[in-house]
Amino acid sequence: MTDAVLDALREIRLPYALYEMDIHRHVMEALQTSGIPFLHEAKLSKGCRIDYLAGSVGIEIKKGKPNEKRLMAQLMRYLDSDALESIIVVGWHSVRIPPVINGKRAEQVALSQLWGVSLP
Amino acid sequence: MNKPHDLPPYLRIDGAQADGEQTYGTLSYNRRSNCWVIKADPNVTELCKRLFPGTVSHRRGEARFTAHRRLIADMNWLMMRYPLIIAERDQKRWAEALEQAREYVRKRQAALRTPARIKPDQASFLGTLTAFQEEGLAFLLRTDRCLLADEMGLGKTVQTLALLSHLKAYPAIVIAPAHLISNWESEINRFVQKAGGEPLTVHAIKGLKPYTLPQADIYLMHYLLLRGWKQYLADAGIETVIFDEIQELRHSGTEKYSAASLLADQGGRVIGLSGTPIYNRGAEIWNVVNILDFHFLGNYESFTREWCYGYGNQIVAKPELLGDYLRREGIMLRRTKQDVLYDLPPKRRLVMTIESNHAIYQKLMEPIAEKLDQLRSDGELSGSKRSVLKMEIEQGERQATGIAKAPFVAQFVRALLEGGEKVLLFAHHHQVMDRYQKDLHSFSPAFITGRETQKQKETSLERFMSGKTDLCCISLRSASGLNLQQATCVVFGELDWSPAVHSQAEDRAHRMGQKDSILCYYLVSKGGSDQDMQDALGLKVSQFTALMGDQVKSQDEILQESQYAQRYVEQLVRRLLDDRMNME
Repeated sequence: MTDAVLDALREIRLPYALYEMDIHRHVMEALQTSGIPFLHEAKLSKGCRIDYLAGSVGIEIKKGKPNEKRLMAQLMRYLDSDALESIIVVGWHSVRIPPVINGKRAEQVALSQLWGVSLP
Repeated sequence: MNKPHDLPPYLRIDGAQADGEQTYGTLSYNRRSNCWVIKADPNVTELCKRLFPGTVSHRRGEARFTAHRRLIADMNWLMMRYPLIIAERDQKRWAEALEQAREYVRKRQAALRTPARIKPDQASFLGTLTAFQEEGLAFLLRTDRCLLADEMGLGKTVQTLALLSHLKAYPAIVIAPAHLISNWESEINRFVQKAGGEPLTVHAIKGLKPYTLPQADIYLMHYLLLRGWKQYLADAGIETVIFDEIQELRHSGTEKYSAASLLADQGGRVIGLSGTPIYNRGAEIWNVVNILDFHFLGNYESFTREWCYGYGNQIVAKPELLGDYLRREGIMLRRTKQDVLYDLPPKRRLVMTIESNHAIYQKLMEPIAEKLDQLRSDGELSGSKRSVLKMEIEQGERQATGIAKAPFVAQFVRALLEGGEKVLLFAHHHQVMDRYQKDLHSFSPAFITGRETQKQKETSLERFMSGKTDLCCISLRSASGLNLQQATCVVFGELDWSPAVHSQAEDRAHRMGQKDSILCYYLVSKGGSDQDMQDALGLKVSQFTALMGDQVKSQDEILQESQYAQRYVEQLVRRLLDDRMNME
């Protein structure tokens, strides 16, 4: 499931994310286009909501470059939940996260990097 | 049926005062600042400033328009609504300026009726053009000031030479990067002659200090000399101005830019050539277009306000609309290889994560860490010192990243060379190049890095193209315009901040005449500056793609390309390992 969600998210070509809601809109469209059911603002535990939950894959949206420590703490909190088997951080910029957190898979999709490094 | 007018209504009649009509102020010419000055009722000058953001003057009741045919037409239109009295001494000048503006519009209207394809003049052009190049020639003939933005390797030079031979509008001047001057000279000799069969006279301008130019049909000059010749060239009676690799003028505010702008003002026909007219943010296109056609996109402030995310912002909000506008108005033509070269073998890319020596990286970062501490702790640093420090930190980290992965890059290139590939290896820092030279010296690499003389560069080119060496190491920013079709693989040992520079580098090998597919490997490390650079590159690719109207690759296509390149490397390594084992 994680790979299917990753494939869907990697289809996004967002010209530039001025607001976080731009990323939200594109993520929803990408999941819908790929026929992946999802919940928006899914509650994982008390006071713990993740932006999207597609099956057992959590998706957290970040617009800017988040503080690494705070992001890690947030991801660990989310991954404590049994509802998640993996998590994907989607942002305009890349973030540095380890491939495995709490024994669960952690991935990132940097939307800027989906455009590539050279002209088409 | 009435014959259609050859002029739009705002130019058909003279907007100046008619007898007995109410007037609102005066119009006069200011010689010193080369502009027309309207002194009128505040409601008129206020309207001028609102309608024409290029209008200068902070004085109440005064508006100044730079004397340019585009603005003359605007003023005439304004004067149809608010007639002005033209100062007696300037009446003749106004009439002439208005006639020039009319002539310009007439020519543009007529140009729209030219055929879609034109064959070059066989008496003076010695080559042949493909169908899309004939379309390019028709486009260049159609408009006096334009940007031919064909992707690299589609023959922009040859289309321009066909234009010169067709028009014979000499003297012409070609402004090009220094390393392309000799290429222009040989291409002119190869493709263009006088109608009687005599060769054209070509003079390459040397030095910053102006001298009396010998008579010639075509002058060649590199961009760095422009500032020295600023005033001289502006009065030299040049008919045609060609700016090759016009992205050199993507920043304004330099002497080079100002000299180019003066030269363009006096040239009858001005052509910009570049497959990558912008390198970074979309707003760079304003600087390029403003050289070709003054205020075509308004002034810079109004451009950023209307097209970008606000005053002074450089990210174009809807780049696809801006690209459409430039194409629709006939100021830009762009074709990609995918559009026109159906049988050109493909170019395949792979961004590959490779190892990097963490200990070396840490060591090289020690002095950078000190600078970072200084930046963080010293609150009294002046703005300029902070900028310098930031730049040194960025450069330092980038260089440390390049050096730390250099041994692994060399190892990768070694495998390609041993597998029989002909490789172009790109990097940015001299220190990184030095590592490659040390690690790969057994392959006698050729170097084009900015440290060589022109002659040494030509020797390097010749060595690679004649097969005397299979490896050519090139600085990322020294690549534009070189023809290196012998290469089969392009490897990036370091990244550049601009995707256009990468594209320029790839297309040294991926050009018309290329027989095999090209594999392009971007070797990035997980640590260091590579991740941040990839983030920045993505934004720039998105701006460029939409502005130029290029087709975006789907994730599937990207995946297929990278899988092919990945498979190729795996097979190669397997084969080499087998060979070694067999030898043992």
